[in-house]
Amino acid sequence: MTATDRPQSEPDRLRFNEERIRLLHKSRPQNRAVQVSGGLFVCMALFSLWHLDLQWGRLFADPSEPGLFRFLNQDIRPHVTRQPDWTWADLGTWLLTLLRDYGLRATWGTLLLATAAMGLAGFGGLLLAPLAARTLTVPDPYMGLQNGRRSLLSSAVRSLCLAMRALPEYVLGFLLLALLSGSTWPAVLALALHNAGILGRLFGDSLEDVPVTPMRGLAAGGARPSGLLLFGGAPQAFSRWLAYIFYRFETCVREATVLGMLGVISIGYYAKEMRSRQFYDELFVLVLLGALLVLLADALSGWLRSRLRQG
Amino acid sequence: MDPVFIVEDLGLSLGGTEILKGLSFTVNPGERIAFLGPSGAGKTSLLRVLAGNHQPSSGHVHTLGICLSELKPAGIRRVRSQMGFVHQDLALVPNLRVLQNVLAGRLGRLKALAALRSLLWPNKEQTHRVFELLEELGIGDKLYERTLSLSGGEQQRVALARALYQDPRALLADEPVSAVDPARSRDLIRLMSKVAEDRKLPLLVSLHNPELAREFFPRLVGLRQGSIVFDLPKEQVTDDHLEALYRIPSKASFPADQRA
Amino acid sequence: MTQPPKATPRFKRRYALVLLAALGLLAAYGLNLHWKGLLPRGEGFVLWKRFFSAALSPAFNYESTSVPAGTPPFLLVVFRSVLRTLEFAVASMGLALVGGLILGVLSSHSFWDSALGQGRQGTKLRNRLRIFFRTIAALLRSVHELLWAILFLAAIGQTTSAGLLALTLPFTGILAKLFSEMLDEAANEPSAALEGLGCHPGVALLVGRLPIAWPDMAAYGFYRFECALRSSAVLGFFGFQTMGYHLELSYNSLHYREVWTLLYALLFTVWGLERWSGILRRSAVR
Repeated sequence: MTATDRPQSEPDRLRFNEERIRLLHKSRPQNRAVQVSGGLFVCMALFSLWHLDLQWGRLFADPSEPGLFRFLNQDIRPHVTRQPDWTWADLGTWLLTLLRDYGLRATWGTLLLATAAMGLAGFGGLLLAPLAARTLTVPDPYMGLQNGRRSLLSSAVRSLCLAMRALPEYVLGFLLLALLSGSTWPAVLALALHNAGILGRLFGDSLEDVPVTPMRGLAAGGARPSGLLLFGGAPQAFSRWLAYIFYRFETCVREATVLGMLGVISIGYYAKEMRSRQFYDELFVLVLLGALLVLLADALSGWLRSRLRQG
Repeated sequence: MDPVFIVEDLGLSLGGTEILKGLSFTVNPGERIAFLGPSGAGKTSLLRVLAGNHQPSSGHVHTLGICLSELKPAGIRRVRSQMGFVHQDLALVPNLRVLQNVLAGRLGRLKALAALRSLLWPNKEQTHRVFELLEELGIGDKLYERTLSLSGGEQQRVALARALYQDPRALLADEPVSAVDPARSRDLIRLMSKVAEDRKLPLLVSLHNPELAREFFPRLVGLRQGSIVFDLPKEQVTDDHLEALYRIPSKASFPADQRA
Repeated sequence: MTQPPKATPRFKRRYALVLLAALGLLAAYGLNLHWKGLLPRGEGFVLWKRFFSAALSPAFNYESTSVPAGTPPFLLVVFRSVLRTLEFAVASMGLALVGGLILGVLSSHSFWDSALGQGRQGTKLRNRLRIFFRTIAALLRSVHELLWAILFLAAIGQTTSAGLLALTLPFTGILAKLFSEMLDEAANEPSAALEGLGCHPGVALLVGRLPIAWPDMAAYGFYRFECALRSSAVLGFFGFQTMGYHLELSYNSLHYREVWTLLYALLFTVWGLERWSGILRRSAVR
């Protein structure tokens, strides 16, 4: 397009430009996948909201009828404060008794559950990672001769990881409940399997992403894949592994607060019991304890990760 | 015609450090000025004060006949919206289209809702204006491209188009060519001078490269450690002047009467 | 991480692994875990065999022969439960995305530093407001979906709105936290430039900052969608008609082939989502 074949008169020029803009607009780069997905998601959300047939009545029900107001006003109020002449000392005694009877044990159990599961998951992740790293499982790893070659083993292990994390922890635990009759194993194993699937993939990814120069040096020196892993990959990926473990630990604690419902002495276990006994005030205290524990784990993991980043 | 900028004894301190001290000069309509000087001389800060982004700590800046330090926030925003500013890092939104990035130039003139509407559903007139601007700068066919996908030189033209789309009363550019190769930076400075001349806009550019400045700018201002070292027509700027500007700091200070 | 391995080993990190392993072992000891608990014993072994052999022949019809007349066919029930699971997940994610975006903006530095950015007064108030919204987000996400579910069940009974709220609230908190971090990490210059040319600070945030953070936010939102699907399935264990409901029913009646049909359906749904997000990722890279 040169200046000479541009129309000179004003109306002509406008029409000419309009046509060019139209053509440019027609051929503009577009991301169809994103557009279609976005549209589809909005339609699905609207359909779901309609089809779920939501009843909001109880949410705004009169305090005299069962509903949110009555729940907040009466049900979750500590029962000692429902007497007309209650004192703060009564409330304190009630809270302390609750904590002593099962509150502390529940919190401690939740923490144990999360930690044990995390230990197992970390171990599982370490086992899965080298197999999931596509750069390690090809012949002649890291020498860069077979870029883009697929490793059947890694694909299989990655699929296994996907399958492990696809099932919700709670479903896994529920299925294991009958198979591992009545112990704490179902909850621990469910949490560990799910997280091992996630960690295996994340660890594997970080093994693939480590700088290759030192690896090439080792490989050129004739190191076997195991040597590459132990002296090249693992030391370089190690702090990222730790960061992932801390990051998963915080989600693990959150998940552990409910997995106890499958029969491990923990917050979920007592929450379920208080619900069936309709002791909603005590249920509420348990929920708060759980929230506190999760926030603490959150802070701890955040602090550890920031320490790790600093080196 | 009234001067566009009158700067009187301008001083600026940011976070306790004195960045500009005792600057005085006048910019007339249509004047093209290059600010020269080593890094840290205060070129960027000076441009930012002129654009209304920093309040002077002392002295006065009159922009278009209005004293900046007497303005309320709304007034300052009006002044800002009349200053076309090309940033050193361009400050474009990478994943918006070129059209939207240029349209953003007028957002300062509009109320919040109208601004958003003009960005999401620009009307025909706005699109035409942006297109013609881009045509003038030689990148008309990039109208609907994502800014991210353009080359460095093209992105600079987008930034320039955004500044021009503001319908500015002055064009300011902070090291616009610091990131491109010499041939391209010459093209860009030539383009900038041309569009400023066509529109009779004052053009104030901070530059590292004295050769470029001498080629395209009739008036050169040398800054060093926050003060003006020389302010001369380009014919009178000698190599000695430039050498003094970039020399390693020594005890000798520059006599004030060297200013024009 | 980017440096080559050092000649001197970093003892601190090496010990970190040992410490973590020790903690895990201690916790296992505290829970009375013994590896023997993992092995099937006696009749447990028969159960294992039954359960896992059922994996090879998932049910296409009810296993029980005495199904009352008028019961919908099993596969239809499975389909409906998948649909209901998706409905809860999509509806709650839709609401949580909107809520998370609003709460995320309100708890971000970039909003409070710019929105009322003129003048120095009110810095303290702005900081307090930001912390207030951050705390709300933290509280929302620190309570697990299922605990929210129990609370809402107790408060408003077995209604779909209880399930929807139980999923929406924690996801809103999680998204708000991540969104605010992503907004704050987005490049500063474009929005500063927009404010520099006299733009309204709110518009500068929407135009100059949000688009930059957008791809990350969408990607994370999609990942959360997968999590929502899992949580929605589990809601079924609390009386909602999602997949968990039918899983529990079939499992407790020892109809393992039905269980496997449901499990495969769940895995297939998760896999479908994974494919969808894969397509999106690839299209974004192009």
